Amino acid sequence: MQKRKSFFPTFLIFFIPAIILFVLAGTGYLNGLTGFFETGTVPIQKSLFGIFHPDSKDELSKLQDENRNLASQLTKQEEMKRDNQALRDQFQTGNPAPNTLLPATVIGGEDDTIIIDKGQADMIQVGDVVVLKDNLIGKVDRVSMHLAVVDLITGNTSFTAKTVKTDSLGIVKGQSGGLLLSNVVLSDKLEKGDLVVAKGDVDSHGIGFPPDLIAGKIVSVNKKASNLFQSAEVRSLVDFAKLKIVFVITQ
Amino acid sequence: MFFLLLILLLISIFLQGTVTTIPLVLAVFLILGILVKEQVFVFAFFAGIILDVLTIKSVGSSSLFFLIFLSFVMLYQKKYEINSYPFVLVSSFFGAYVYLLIFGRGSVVQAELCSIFAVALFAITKTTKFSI
Repeated sequence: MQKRKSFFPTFLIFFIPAIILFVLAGTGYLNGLTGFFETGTVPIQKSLFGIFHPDSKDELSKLQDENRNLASQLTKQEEMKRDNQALRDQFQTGNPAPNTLLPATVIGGEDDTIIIDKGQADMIQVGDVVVLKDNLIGKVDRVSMHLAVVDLITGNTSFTAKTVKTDSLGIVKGQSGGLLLSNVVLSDKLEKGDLVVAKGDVDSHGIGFPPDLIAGKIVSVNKKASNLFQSAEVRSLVDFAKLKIVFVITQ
Repeated sequence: MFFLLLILLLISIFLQGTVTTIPLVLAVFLILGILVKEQVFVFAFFAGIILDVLTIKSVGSSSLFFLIFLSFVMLYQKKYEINSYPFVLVSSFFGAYVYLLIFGRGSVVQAELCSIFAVALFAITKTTKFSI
């Protein structure tokens, strides 16, 4: 009878280096090496992503673009109204540090995340906010030398938000590909079609969502007198599956 | 056929690192593991590293998973007939499901799609009388 050769020595030859690599990667010693490797793989990823996401704009996409622009203008108008009121009260304006928008190309993605072609080499750091026009896209979760993984707002992200018309406060969090505005007190009014924007929770390190970036539009309201809070289903104005270029707010 | 599978492996790595979350690489490795036995560890090690770089995971994590998964496949070959459709179907499903649990969101649908891909690939290699 032919005796089967054991695979164990071959397995160990590769298993031990894999563990060593894994530990080294955790300590950050391999960043330079992976960064060098990424310079070769990023163009391939970009081309491949382009093949599977052709840049053809149909009528629906154009209308969605127009809708986004109108929503953006509406938010600005509401803000201007509020600003005018504030100016009447006091002649004092805030002077926040100017943010820099860095364009980045989407080159990949998984569930509720996208991969962009900018990384530490472009001064991107974990926590940087990613936008498209005035719309919130997400937050940088992991970063390597030339790539970054962005957690979409529809994923495992939550932030304080308010509605534009009624100024109701709540918490927006991702839920199975969509968004939910929750923890809104029953006395506040939620209207279908109202825009939901970030309230702003930037910390002293400049990390967090800046105010007035659009999270989405309310599509349905869930209000029950027996509950402590009401909630609303929110739909983003951006089709995350069709994202090609986004902007990272770098400090 | 062996070189065709290697080309398919390379394509799968880039597809999984760019446009899909279905663990195609795992399916290709399962078939390679059944056909070429322990030589597959070499490819599992290097392919895992490439995949980790593409998806910005900790370098070595995918390699470790592939190596452990393939070692289980090799262990089973002593007791069961691994060169069979039921084995490919079941092992690719559970392998993909565990992979998705560790590296993404455990998705039964994606594990099923991976399983179908593995069976289709296995059928092709069977009909073309794979030899190394």
